[in-house]
Amino acid sequence: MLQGPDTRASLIGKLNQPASEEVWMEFVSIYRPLVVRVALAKGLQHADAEDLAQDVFSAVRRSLATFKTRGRGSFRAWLFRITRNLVVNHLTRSKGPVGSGDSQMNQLLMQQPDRQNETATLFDYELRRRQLHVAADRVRSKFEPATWRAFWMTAVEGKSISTVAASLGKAEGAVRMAKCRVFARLQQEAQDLSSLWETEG
Amino acid sequence: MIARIGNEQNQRDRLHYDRETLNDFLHDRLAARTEEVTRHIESCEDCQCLVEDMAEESLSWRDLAELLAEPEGTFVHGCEVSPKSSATKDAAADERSRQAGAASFLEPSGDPESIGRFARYEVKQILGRGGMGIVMRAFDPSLGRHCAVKVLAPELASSAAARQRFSREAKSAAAVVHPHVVPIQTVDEHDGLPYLVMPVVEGPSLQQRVEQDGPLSPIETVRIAAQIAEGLFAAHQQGLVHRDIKPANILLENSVERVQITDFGLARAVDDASMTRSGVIAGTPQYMSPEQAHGDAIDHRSDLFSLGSVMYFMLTGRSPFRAETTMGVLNRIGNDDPRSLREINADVPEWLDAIVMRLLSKNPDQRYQRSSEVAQLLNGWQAHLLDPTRADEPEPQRPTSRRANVTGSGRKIDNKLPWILAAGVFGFFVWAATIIILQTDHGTLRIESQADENLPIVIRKGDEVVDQVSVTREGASIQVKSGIYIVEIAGNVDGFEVQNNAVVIKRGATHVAKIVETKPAGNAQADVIMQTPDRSQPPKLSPFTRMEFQGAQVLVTYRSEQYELLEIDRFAIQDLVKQTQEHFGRSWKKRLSEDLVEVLWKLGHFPGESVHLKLKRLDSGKVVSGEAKMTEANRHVLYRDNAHNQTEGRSVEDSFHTVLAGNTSVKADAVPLDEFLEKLSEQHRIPIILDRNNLKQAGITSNVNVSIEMKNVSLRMVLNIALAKVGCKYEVKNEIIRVFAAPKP
Repeated sequence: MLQGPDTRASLIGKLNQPASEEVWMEFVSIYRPLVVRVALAKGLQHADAEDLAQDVFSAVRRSLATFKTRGRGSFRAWLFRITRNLVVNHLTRSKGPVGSGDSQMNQLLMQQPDRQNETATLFDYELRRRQLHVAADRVRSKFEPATWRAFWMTAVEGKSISTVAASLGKAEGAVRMAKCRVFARLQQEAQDLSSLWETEG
Repeated sequence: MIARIGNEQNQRDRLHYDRETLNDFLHDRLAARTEEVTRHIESCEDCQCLVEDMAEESLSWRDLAELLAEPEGTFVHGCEVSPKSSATKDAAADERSRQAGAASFLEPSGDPESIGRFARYEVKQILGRGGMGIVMRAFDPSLGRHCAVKVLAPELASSAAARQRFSREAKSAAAVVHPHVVPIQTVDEHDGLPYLVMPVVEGPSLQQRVEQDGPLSPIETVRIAAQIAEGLFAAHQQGLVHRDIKPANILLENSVERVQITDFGLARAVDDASMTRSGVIAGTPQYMSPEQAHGDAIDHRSDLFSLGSVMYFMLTGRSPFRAETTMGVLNRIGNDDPRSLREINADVPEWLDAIVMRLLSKNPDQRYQRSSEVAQLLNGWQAHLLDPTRADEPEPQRPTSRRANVTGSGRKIDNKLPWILAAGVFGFFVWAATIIILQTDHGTLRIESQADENLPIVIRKGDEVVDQVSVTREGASIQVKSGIYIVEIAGNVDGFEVQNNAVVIKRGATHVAKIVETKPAGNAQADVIMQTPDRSQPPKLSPFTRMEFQGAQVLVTYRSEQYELLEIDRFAIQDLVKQTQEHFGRSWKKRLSEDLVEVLWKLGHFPGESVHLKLKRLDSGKVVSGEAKMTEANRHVLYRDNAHNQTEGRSVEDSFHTVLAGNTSVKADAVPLDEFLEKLSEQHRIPIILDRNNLKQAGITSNVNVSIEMKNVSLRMVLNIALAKVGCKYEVKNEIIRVFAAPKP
């Protein structure tokens, strides 16, 4: 199930071909919200986080050619490296009139490995969230709306099985099992996403 | 394969499945006896418990809830909520409300032939859903007749103001009684939903008629148009403007072919609700008048323009102003002359072409002034066409200035003038000013004024106010470096047009000012005013952790206490505010708070790590002063705080951000970047400007191609994907969205 480095190499290779725009669109669609969220979590204002995302993806696009020569490390790690570097750059140099920099952040990032780990942890956490949200978007349409609602209300909103069963007019056992089956499918989808895009090297 | 194994503790009726079967059930892989297994598991708590545990594979139930519970667009600390938090979630919600919307307000009915009941009406059929609401065919049992019931869409009815407005407009429309106007029989409210009742008109609409049978003959067109004009006159006499004259609102009663206008005044009733909801014009604007398209005040002559468009449609089968996007249509209505009718349909007589073209004058003053005049003229022609021997041709119309050199209040942007990028009063601009965005290689802008009073003009580039002048009759010259400038003309100006390489600004019929770009003779005089000494970047420091603005007061938080700020290094705060406003325009609050050092540098003052502050205590009014250390930590706290502290005065940008965060769908197949951006700009009604000079400097040609196809993603995402690929990015600043080369790392 896990795909080896070939997959990664071929995907990146594919991404590097101008013809393969679908891959580029999918790539940015999945990871752009992640970059924005991490930037927000690091204290950027919304507009500046959006700006950072733009810088990240134009840099990713520019450096696609150099990725293969960067040695070991997963695609995720590579994306993370770029993200972090750009956050650091962004905070070091003021790139113009927008007052969005903060060199204190930069110092912390540069000097304290703990801080870097913290950002990495944050990034990984947000990555899992993003994967799950993308998976949810994809899986939702594959279930009956009532099944999905049963899952969402119980597993996510934390409502009791009996309440949800009553409100949906379903048996409690059916609600409980709907919850489990959606969850299983969701994890499968997230797993597929992860092995497709972030296979460890 | 499916083993049913006995449970020793509860052998009589408690039989359970093995883990493998449960796992197959969980993953939807049951090969056989699916129903039986499912039935058992769904009623057996023990099996359910097992399945629940087995479901935790790579994630725990707790992780799942934590990760999914928070919508993605929101952020805990940022207080920033993107309006489209999760595309699919919203789409699903929309879908649900749409489905529900069609019939959710119907009550069950005892009548087997009706699909439900609304108030006292038995609803037989949902005829359609328009921008305004739902139209149903219904039977009124108390009067024993069929009728059409229009209900304001539930989502529009949620605001009390919208409901009141709907009822008010419907009541004034009900006052119009005329053979060519569909009467409104009842205006009422049921369960919080306003509705009105009209008789059912059996017959096609003009839209359907032309779609089925093709363009109409001139005589048929004249007959129908004359009746529309009569119906309009009845309403106009009562001060009621239809506002949405279009072929779909003209009904042709079967057999008698009597023309009846429907939906009088209702367009206005929904404007309120739908505009605030989406920020865009609901429905097709193809028959709108230029003043309507421009968002100006309108009067009955707007309906006459629309009548002209409808006549054009009858004669040719198409509306005069067509484009792929709403914004495109609006632009064409405001700027383009329609193709001559005789060019499309040679059967159209010259006099009829002249009547339609006069109705389609951009300037209401140049149209017929009254609907009765039009009705009379058309009736005269009809009589003449039916019996040329008995009825003479109507009096030739008095000659009107042809529209060839008249643009009225339209804003005509000539392709020959690449330096004028866009001009107009963009819908999002909240103040009354005319905006011209122009791009220039360095040169001089010469502004001449013919107005009696001085004309205040602000010229800005980026954050800088390049010049703020009151143009007198002597005129003014402003030297500009290359780049994109925004020229903002305050005050009462109602249009401008482009003539001979100049922008002429008009007020009524008079030209009040003219902007001309003149090129410098040599390179010598350029770059004078824009030159700023090259210094290293000002540090991001602040003594404060928060800055707020209350009227003229500036409140700061210094060492965790709030004070009114009076002075920084001997600069009185009023002066500082004024200077910051001049340098940074509308973003001055953000800049003064976040970039204090930069602001001081701009004033020629270079503070060290501390500044001298004069502060006033809020409680006692006592004034304190002393040296205050400026730190990055303070400034960082202030910066984060500003995310939800600096909203005032940025509403234009804010509205752009809302549009950027909203969902959209795009498709472009190798479209040049500039065209692509133009389309996006039109589609979303926001100014997106490509900074060609900047691209040129960065070595990017502006005719690089964009290929993209995406559905239901944010406009930000679209821009990011498309622009990153060509090495560009965008920024929202100074009331435009500027696209420029992304800086290389």
